[in-house]
Amino acid sequence: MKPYTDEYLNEDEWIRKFDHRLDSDELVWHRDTKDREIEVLHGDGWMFQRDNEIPFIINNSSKFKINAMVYHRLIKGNTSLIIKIKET
Amino acid sequence: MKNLKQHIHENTVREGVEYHVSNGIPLSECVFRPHSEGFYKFYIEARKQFDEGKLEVTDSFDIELMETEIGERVDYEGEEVPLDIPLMEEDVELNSPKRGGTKKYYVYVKNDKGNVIKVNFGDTSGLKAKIDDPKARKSFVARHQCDMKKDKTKPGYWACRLPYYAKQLGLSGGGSFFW
Repeated sequence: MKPYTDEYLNEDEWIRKFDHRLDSDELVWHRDTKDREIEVLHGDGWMFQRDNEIPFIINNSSKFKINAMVYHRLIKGNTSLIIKIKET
Repeated sequence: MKNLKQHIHENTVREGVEYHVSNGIPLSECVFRPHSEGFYKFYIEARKQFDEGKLEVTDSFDIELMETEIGERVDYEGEEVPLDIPLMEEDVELNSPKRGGTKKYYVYVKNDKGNVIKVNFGDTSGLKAKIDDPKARKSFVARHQCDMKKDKTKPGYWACRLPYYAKQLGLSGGGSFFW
């Protein structure tokens, strides 16, 4: 089972919610096939990390990109996390 | 072994070690992705700082880890392999997914003569089922005398330390404890 729920806005854009009760072990390193633009809508204390980089804190309204086929992961914070994902 | 295509700057590796120190994270839970370039360089940098007395390590398993050659990669029968880090056998049975049961692991280590050998060991008791059960862990440790297992060329050494490496092996559970 996936550690998040998705609500699609259109074919290339959706809202993803991670519940604060999820197990940290569920947030695994992974890669995506397409480039993605991420906007944080809600969340406190969560971090994002790209492969071979140090994790950084993501706050409300943080925006960042994830290149296709680059390993990355989320590190759990104190609240639920809601992000907007746009595939490009 | 996978190709390490993405390179990491040495400053980032040092920042990785600092990240562990400032956040009180055990070295065994490396911040970098298991088996990435950052992962291997992290352990080389941590050991360098530890040997120079610049890195204070208090966790007993982290101290043990610093005395291994984790991070180093060597040639073994024409293939580059990592030292002192358990690896999981790929599931070779196609179209027959299995959950639980016996898992097979192996690790490359240097013996007393400096030769690289492959040590095979198995988790015959079901890691996922027992790793989160303190009673089962205690029983395993007592039965296998884990605190007496100091020879890393023996399967028992690695079987006892499997929980420490759970995350690197992509297994849930695990942590800073013997079984």
